[in-house]
Amino acid sequence: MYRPAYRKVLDCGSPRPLDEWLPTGQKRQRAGAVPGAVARTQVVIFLLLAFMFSGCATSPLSPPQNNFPHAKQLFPPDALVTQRGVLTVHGRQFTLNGYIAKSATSGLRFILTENFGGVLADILVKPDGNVFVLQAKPPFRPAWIKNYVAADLKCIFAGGRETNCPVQMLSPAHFLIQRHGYKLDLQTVETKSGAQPASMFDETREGKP
Amino acid sequence: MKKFAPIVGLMFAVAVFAADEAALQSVTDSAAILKDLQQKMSSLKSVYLDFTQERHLKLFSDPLKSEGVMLIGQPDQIRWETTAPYQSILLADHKSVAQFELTDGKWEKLKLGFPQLLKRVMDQMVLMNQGKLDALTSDYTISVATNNQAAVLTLVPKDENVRGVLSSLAVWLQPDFSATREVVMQEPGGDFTRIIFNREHRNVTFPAGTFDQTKPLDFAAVRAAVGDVP
Repeated sequence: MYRPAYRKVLDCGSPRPLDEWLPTGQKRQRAGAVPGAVARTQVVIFLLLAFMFSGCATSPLSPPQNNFPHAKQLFPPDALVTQRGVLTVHGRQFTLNGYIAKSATSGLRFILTENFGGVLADILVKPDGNVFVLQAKPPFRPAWIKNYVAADLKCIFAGGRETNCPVQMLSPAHFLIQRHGYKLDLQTVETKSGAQPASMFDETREGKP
Repeated sequence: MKKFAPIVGLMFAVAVFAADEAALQSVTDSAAILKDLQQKMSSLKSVYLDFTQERHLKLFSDPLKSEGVMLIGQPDQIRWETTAPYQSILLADHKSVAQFELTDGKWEKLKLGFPQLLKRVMDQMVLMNQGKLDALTSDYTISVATNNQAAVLTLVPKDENVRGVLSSLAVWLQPDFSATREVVMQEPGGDFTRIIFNREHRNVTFPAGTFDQTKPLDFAAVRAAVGDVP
């Protein structure tokens, strides 16, 4: 029976029971050691997310779709856009924040953070569509960032540069991206018009405006 | 994620005062000060804190800002709500945790990936607010500096791995510990997060539903009941 290549992504596997990922000592709450325990807790979350995404990073994308061709016009040519996202993986939901510096002439710079502000990914998309993954922190591997996060970014902010765009626009500020393995519900929560510093779009100056 | 969760824990520790750092004098014996602080914090029955969070990244010339409130009630109830630029509520008590996101004007309860872990984080926030500072000494080297305008607790992680994401955490308080006004979390690369507490109400009575994990009371109603005026 013919099975298209993109079906491979379905073979990523299911998460293991949570306790299997808890390091010794994590199963019992310790009243003290507040921030340290919190940090370790977050490490566990990373591990779990990493597992959920493992094996998927190099899988081909879902079949080409493009029902979202005009998104580029939704945002000013030069702006800083803030988005709030809910990522659903295997039925579990995680909240994320995205900050997109947009330049009509220089491209896109994207910072992805977790709920409390920690940077998970830093991506530069040049005007020709080339992607530079400047930072990728667990659970996001560079390949996953490049193949999925950057693709989603280009779908919404660089219309025409990405043809594989399974994006639904639920309203001008609300998008739903559904690929094999995950669903991302995105809302634009703030848009500040204005030119962004040119240094933000220089791939040789990682994190240094 | 791991980078900022400790921050959240300590920001519940209380209220701070921005003062001239250069004028601060280190305190050689910080035990007495920490004991006094713990006593005062443990007497709190409830607290309402209005905050502005600034995320300072080298990449951006201006900080990334968000606003919200933190409410702590008894027994062991906590509500951490971001009100701008997006709206999100985290709720926890001694039994469970819940998160709500406002989408297209409607609150949606999330199917949390790892609720027991998030609950652990929230529990620890409550512990901090209850003044369990002595619990921190196993994980942090704590130093105290004061002047006539502020008392500053600086916590440096003992664990090298934690120091890899959090260089230090400074809690700025009024000299008499009557309020916390600011928490600053420094990261190794120079980025930092600053949480400024704008208004604080202590020992308030929260209306029913404030900590409800099925249908939390709207923030506007909570604010009105507490008498918080922006």
